[in-house]
Amino acid sequence: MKILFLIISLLAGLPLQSQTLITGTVTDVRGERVAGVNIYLKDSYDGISSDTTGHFAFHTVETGHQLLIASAVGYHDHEQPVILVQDTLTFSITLKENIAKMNEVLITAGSFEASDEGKAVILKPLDIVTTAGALGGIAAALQTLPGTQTVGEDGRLFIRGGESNETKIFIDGVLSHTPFQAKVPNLPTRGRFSPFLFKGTTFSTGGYSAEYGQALSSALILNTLDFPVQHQTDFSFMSVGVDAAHQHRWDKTSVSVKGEYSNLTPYQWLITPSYQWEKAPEAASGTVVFHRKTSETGLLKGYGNYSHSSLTFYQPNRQQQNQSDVVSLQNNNWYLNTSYQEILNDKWSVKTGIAYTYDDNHLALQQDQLHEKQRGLHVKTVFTLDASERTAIRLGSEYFYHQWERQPSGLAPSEQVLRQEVEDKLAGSFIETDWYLSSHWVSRPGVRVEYNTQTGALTWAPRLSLAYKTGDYGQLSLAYGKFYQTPEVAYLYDHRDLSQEQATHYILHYQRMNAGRTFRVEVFYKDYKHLVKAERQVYNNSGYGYAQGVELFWRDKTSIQNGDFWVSYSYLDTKRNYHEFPASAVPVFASRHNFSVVYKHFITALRIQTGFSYQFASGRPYYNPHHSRFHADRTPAYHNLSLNAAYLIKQNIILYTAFTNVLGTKQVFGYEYSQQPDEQGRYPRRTIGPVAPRFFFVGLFVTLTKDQQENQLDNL
Amino acid sequence: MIPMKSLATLAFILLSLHNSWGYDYTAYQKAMQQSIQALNEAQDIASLQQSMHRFERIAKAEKSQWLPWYYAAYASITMGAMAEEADRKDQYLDHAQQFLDEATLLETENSELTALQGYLYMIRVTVDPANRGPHMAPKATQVLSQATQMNPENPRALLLLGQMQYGTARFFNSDTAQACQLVSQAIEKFDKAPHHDALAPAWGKEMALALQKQCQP
Repeated sequence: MKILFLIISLLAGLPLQSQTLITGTVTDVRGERVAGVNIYLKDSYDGISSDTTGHFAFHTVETGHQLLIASAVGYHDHEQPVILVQDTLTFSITLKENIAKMNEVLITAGSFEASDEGKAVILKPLDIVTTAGALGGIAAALQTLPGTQTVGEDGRLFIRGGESNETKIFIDGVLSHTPFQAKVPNLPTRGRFSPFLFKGTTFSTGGYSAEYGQALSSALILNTLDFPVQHQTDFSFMSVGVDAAHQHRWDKTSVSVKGEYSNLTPYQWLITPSYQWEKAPEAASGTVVFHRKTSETGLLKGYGNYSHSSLTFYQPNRQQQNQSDVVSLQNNNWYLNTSYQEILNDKWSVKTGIAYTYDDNHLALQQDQLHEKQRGLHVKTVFTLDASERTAIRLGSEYFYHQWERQPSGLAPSEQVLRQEVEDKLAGSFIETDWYLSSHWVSRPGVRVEYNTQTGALTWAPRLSLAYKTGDYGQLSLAYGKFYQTPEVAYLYDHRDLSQEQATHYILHYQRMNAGRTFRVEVFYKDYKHLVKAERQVYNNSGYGYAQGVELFWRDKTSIQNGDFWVSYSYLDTKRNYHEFPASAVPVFASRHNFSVVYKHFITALRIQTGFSYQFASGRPYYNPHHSRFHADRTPAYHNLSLNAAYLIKQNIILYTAFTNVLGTKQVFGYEYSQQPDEQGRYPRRTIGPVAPRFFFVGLFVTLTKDQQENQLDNL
Repeated sequence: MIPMKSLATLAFILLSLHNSWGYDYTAYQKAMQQSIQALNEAQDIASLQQSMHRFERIAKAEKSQWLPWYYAAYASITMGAMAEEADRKDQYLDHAQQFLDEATLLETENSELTALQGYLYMIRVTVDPANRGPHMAPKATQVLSQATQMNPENPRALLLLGQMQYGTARFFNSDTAQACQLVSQAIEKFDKAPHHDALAPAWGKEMALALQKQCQP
């Protein structure tokens, strides 16, 4: 027998040393078996992986006091001192989930995330570019998500019964004061920023982090791209203009420059514009982006942009339909954004940024001319402390400076008495903690304090988010918060003592994500207080209002081969009594029902990505002087079916076409009534509609890179 | 003049170092050889994981060797390539990246490690080509060309670069000649590769031959 054992041992290559068999099972805290755990003795090669039933068994020649370790992704290492004797040792090991790594519960109430990585991702950056009808506009693509309102004559973001100025846009953490092109009444505007600038987007429709202030309804957080990979030159030839960009990178530094020119004149030959144009919209802009790696983990980013835009057109006169009013615009805009981030040590990291805007705008409406200037500065620093695996604390401070001035232009300097100027200075600080109570519970309490040095007003804004993981795929979230904002500048010029407007958000949210399918439902209530209100020509903060609703979202990337779609529905019930409202009423930008479907299909063989989007919005209120009740009437419902297709001609050449409102449905955004009645005692009106019933876009995008492989081959 | 005593101490230290190294090194050599063989034979995710764990154990015990980390990363990347679910793929690749980071702490400027990094990026692209392709495919290509520059004799760098180019060319229906030329070059280098170090990375020839077959019309 002994000899047999000896032979077997020799054959098996086992040394004739005393051996211990270590065996057992691995389970998690809920008692479920864990497969693929590495179980071994510290500083030895001896060990094994647990099998699918969580079982393990291995031999070791080590003796005496040793440390048994069990390690697996998503769990804490389990360490256990063992004394090895020539025997069989059986262990039952329980692994604790590593909260930071796996199955994490995330705060998702009120927010949509778009990025390439990350678990809460709803949209990818590319989705924004390829959404039919959005024409590459970030705001337009976001308008296919729940919580948004379709306001065709504006183009900006109206969230949950909030005005467009209640949405603030932050780039790398700091404010973009003028994120949209200068706007003239009744014509939609577009964002100033190309979606290609950003690697990640968080779009919050309420209940957001204490880090963001001065926004009553929504925060859109855009993070610019990191250090570029290669030299690159891009050209775009579009039916509305041309772009050229070049990106150069060195070891630690990169610089990109971009020039853009757009002119809608040729486009207007193709369509039948609703308005008569004297000068079609024309814009030129130049951008410089700078990156510098200051260390292994430190990155400095700089972004500078100058743009000029102008247009002149005729709008039908409200009084006499056969006459028209001239509207013209000239805008110059400068924007600088610099940010720096660094990991200080294994606990602390810092992010800081500064943004400066200068905007100069000439607007002419018939004889009335207005010259407006705006200067804005935002400085912000945020520290993050990873206090423990369960706790991360973020704290920061910021300073907002805003200065506006306006005067009727073309006046002699002596008449500059009409010039008005107003400033707003505000300092803010916040602290917020992400606190994981378990792998299923996370809470984010925070508070934000703001001090307005102009009015001496001090506001405290508590915020709270909670999320609970209900199962492997579902989670329930709650969010609450108070939000403050300086009133619109139009009211500040004459009423500098106006204090901060206020909104309180309550959000309940459920989300289920599994195998490429996402379902979300959200219920919210928003309470507005201290809104600006006119009482007998005097403006004060006595306005108020509310918004409540239910929103649904369904995205499915799995069910249709090469197809991907999402459906959004928002129900909104809102009323306010603010500005010049005579009573509590639904504001003109709010529609009760908003519905949208976006579908994308990739035809691999043809290298074509094609898709459509359909948007529906129920009628919006408008002011009708014939009606005794304020905002009692509704416009017809809005429909828009758009198509698009992108064809990858070559790796570096893309042909893109888009066609909006294919069916040519008549879209009515509202009516504007004359202030005086005509002879019959009727008030004539004009209809506010789109610039053209349909829009057609075609663009060719070419990317040139230095072909490193080619050079490489020559070197070999 | 160096005192005799110091010399003796030095000799003693050198000798003892040599001894301890010698002893450990053979154990290390043996464990590595067995593990590499097991890795080469692994056909499914479970056995690759066994193999990955084995390298991880060796790496943690040895502390100064980068090769066990290298193989652990390679096993994990292969798991990422084999897995079906996107989340799972990313999880394996995250793990591979951790191993690769450990390896680069011990060994810098090594063409093998750079090539493996490029391979990792390449598999990352395959998880979600439409979204990751535009920014990550150039990164993979760049890192792989860098690996070929660091050591033009590295067949794996050539093979992976060839594979990357082949995939891209196929997708765009363009000419695969350049990619296939790289693959042929890789095969030549595989044949010429020295075999004196049993632990040095040697994988990839089968992959290259399979790709060469696809290259032939």
